[in-house]
Amino acid sequence: MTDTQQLELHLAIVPHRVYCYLGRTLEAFGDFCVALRPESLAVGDLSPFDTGGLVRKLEPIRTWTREQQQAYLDAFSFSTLTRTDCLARHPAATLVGYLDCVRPLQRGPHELWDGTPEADIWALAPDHDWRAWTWEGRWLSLPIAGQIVAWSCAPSIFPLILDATERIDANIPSEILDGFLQAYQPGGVGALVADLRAVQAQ
Amino acid sequence: MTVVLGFEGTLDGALVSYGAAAIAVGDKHVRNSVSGLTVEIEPNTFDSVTKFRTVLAIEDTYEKAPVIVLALDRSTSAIEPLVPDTGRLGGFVTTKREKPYVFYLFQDRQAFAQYCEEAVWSVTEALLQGEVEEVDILQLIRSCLVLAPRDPVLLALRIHWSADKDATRKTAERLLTPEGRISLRTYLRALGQPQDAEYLIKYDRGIAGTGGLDLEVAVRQLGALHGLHEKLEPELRRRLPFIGENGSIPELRFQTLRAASAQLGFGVRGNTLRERVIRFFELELIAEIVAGKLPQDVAKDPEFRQGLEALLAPPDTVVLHQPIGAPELEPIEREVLVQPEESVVRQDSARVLGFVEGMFRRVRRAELRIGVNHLITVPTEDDGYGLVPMGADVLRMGRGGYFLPTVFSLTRRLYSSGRSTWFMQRMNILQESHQADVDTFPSSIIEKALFKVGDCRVSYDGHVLSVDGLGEAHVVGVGLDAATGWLTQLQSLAIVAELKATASPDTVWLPPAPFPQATAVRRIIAVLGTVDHETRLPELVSMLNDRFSTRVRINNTMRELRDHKDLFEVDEDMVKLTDTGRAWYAAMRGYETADARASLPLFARGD
Repeated sequence: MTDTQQLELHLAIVPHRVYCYLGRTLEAFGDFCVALRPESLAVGDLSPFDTGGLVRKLEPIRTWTREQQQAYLDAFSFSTLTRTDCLARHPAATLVGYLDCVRPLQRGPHELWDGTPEADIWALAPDHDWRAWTWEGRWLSLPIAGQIVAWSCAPSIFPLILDATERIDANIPSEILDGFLQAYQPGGVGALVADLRAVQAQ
Repeated sequence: MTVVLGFEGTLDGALVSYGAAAIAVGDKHVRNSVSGLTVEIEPNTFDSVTKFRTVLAIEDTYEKAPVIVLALDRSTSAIEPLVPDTGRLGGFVTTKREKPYVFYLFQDRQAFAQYCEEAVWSVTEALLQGEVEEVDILQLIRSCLVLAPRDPVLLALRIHWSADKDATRKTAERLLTPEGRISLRTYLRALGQPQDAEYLIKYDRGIAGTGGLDLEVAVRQLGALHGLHEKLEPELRRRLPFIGENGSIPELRFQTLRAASAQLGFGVRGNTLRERVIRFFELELIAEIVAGKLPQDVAKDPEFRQGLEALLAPPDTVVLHQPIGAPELEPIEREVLVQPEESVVRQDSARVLGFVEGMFRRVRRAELRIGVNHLITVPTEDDGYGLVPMGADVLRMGRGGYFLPTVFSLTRRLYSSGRSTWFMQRMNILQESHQADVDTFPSSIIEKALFKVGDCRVSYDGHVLSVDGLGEAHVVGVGLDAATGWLTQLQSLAIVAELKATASPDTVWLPPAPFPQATAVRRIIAVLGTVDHETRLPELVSMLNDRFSTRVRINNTMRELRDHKDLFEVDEDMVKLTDTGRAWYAAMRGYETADARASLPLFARGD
């Protein structure tokens, strides 16, 4: 069982999900990164924090009982159909700050959603732990190429991908391969994140 | 000091890679220099980071800078052209050696992009000069693609040397934007030209007199071309940056001279691929200029314009050119070059069914196929009256529009010099269940002529094109072959309408300009038409030779007669025009009468 699957079991997230962050990547460095068009995705869930952090990192929740943690997650799980409303609450007018990982002004999400459990997870997180206030998306299925806005990879890997597309060309519908290669952004993961962030911040 | 721990992305034995610097933030965190994302150092933090064996300290001024690290495996000579000239590059920070790699740090993405651009030029120059060992070529291109995956010249070079050109070309086109694809195709054409490819300029009448050029005139024309070559150097350096500021540009190669025809041929022949590519681009540039698009920096240069005028607008001379790859000689567009003292002697409008076959984006002209052997070019941003043609946005924006049944509303202007130009006012792509009217059809009797009748309704149901009074053509499939298929069907039906049109006084005959040479069949019809449609074979041959200054014999003529039984009837040695033959003669007379420059009898001209 993977680390993610263990956390899903702990928080009663069934079945397994595919995860992403809104506006940033999980790791600061990567070999691959894919940015998706949210409108084209199936309905999923959103939470204003990294769910894995509830179990191991986020104060004070990591010390709560398993049932309390699950209840907290339930309270802050929203349908992706309400994404616009969610973003209007957090980060609201501070989108640029959100994209730059700046800590929100509120102590925790309970200040933005009435009647939800109180926990100062945003205020208590260390400075660099932006995962405490990031939006996390969870979906049941993997995206397909048509939903990809942009992707990147370590530059040294790109020629291998070109070779692969030339070998498997006949087995992949042309429009999917067209869209996939058109969506490639050179420069690696860091560059992709920086470029998309600049576009969204406009 | 700022400490660099490594850079983003695994290297995994690659010869070349690069990525955002991994900058240490205190002891416990690391920051991605480009995204700015800072994370705590955990066991898996460096899974996707190429970590230096020993850390690299750089000045604190780069602490927050989007530093990029380039890695080159210097143990192989194959990638030598990629080694940066650190003494000259702006934005270069420092190097670090860890065998077999040398790491080069750039202060930001812009500085790195500049290096990548120059690396592409350096690789291109090395490959075109033939300086790279055969076994290293593909490896070098592949390594450079890491730096510039969408560079059209690099992708073209990859295709050029690839064992599976189709697959690599498909991938390249998928990576590129529509503009990039055009650039790719141009480079591929340049790389793939045979040694004997030629750009032709031909003079007719005027300075060419009765054939050939006076030596003095020929020297003047070549001198003018040499002058243009010098003026075009800056534009060539812009288009082919690998030449650099000081790289040599080969002189135009004067390859053939057909003296009797006053036809000059300029070729791409060269000792290296570099010479051939540069020559091809210069000839393409000249073809663009001849088609009416002048590079900005010379457009107002009086010396340049004077040279151009001498080359392309000698007095009373019809100038034709044939760019490399063009099917035939075509009259030049020269209204933008000079203000010739010529007037419009005739203007015709035509609504004709055809399809868009191609686009010259650089000169903003579209190729319209309006007959099986009749291709015209029209501006896509000028309808002849200074407006953008209606419906042409699909072409201008690069949104397709090719090979589809389309009704074009056109104007043709004939000038006193014998030159003609076409303009498009509107293009109406026929969608399923659409109808539109046409009034003009291509001639099957005189090449590139058209005839105009009353309005005919065209209907299209997605599979069948119906033209009232003409018949139907089936549209099977998509693309050029399919479009050529239905146009061929329609043209074979149009011959009936053309012959029928000879009986109508309302028919408008649109002769081609310049008028093409008369074929053997047309000559026979012309002679028979003037002798009451019949004569004896020996007399026919004698009249043919007398009138057209030819030396045909009875045998040749007999063969033509036998091959065209629909036009000629032969009884013993009597030769007669059939009814169809008479209709051909009437149509030929129609075109002759309509020719505004008919100073000579139609059937004598062109011999």
